[in-house]
Amino acid sequence: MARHRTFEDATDAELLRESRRDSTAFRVLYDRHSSRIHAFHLKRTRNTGAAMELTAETFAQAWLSRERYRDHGEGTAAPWLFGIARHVLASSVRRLSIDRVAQDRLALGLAHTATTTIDETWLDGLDDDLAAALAELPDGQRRAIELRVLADGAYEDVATELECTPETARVRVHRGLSSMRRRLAGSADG
Amino acid sequence: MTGTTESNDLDGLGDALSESTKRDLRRGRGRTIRRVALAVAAVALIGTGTVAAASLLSPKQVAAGMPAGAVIFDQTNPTCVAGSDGSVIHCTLATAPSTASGITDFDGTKEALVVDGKVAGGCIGQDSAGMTWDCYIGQDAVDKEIITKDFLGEPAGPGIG
Repeated sequence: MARHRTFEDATDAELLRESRRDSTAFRVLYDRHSSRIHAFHLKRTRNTGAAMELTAETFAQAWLSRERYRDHGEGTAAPWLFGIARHVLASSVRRLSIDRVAQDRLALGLAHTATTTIDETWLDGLDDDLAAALAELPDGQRRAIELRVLADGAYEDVATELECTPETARVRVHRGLSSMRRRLAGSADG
Repeated sequence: MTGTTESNDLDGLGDALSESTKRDLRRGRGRTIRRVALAVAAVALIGTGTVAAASLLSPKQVAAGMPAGAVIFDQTNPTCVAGSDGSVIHCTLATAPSTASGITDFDGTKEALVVDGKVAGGCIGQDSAGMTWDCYIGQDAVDKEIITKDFLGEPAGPGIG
């Protein structure tokens, strides 16, 4: 990466790359995103202790899998982190206990909230956010995503259906997915 | 919880994470040195470094190693067969992988393979739906740039996306 005077100037992708050698870079990433990840978990659980533990597990998993982060050129790791957060939440509900696999591996040593009761309602409406984000897209982008992602069509077939070139179909899918990621990341704040 | 309390708690969590991640980096360096020493010893014993990687694990072990390495393979029931060149192992899933991690096009997607709790190799998606994967063991996975050399042999559980 280009040498930055401080990590504050670095993109998320650069921070994750640099964190393979220097854990300070990961702390900067944490400071950038922890409030929104915590807000996501708090919105779902309405339980401050559970939200904090799920946030801890989210970032512990992010640390352990940071070498597998792929930069799609969007400049932010927020969609990746929210993907981990969703998985941690779903996994905890499935197991009926807060997922602490990564925390344990890192020997994070937090004081856990012993009385946290897992509630299946934590997942209520989780996919509604996805449906709402899809519904808000312009028609062309929404159809392109439905045909390409949901129906697993080839770009050539998507293009034929939408009466455009495969390149245009590809751009619509890319832009649509980017918009959805931004919206889903933002919805966690509410 | 007030905003200030929440902020303090998040700061405290950040401090705890910083300590743990620093420690994890230090531990990782130690493990790397030990692994290199073991690898050198193994090559010396074998007399050559060109062991056919696929022969080190059975296709059944590889199939079990997919969900152990990546949560997207949960409940996908992979089945694998050894390729003819002795390095690649072809795997097919019974059901499509999870897209919960945000991956919607699996063509070219790279995932780690974990056997006995350690990273043993990696797999590359061969189609957009993620139904077929080519997997490589050990150094072959590093050569294919699926995993880094440092990651090989690391203790690991299912990764995200």
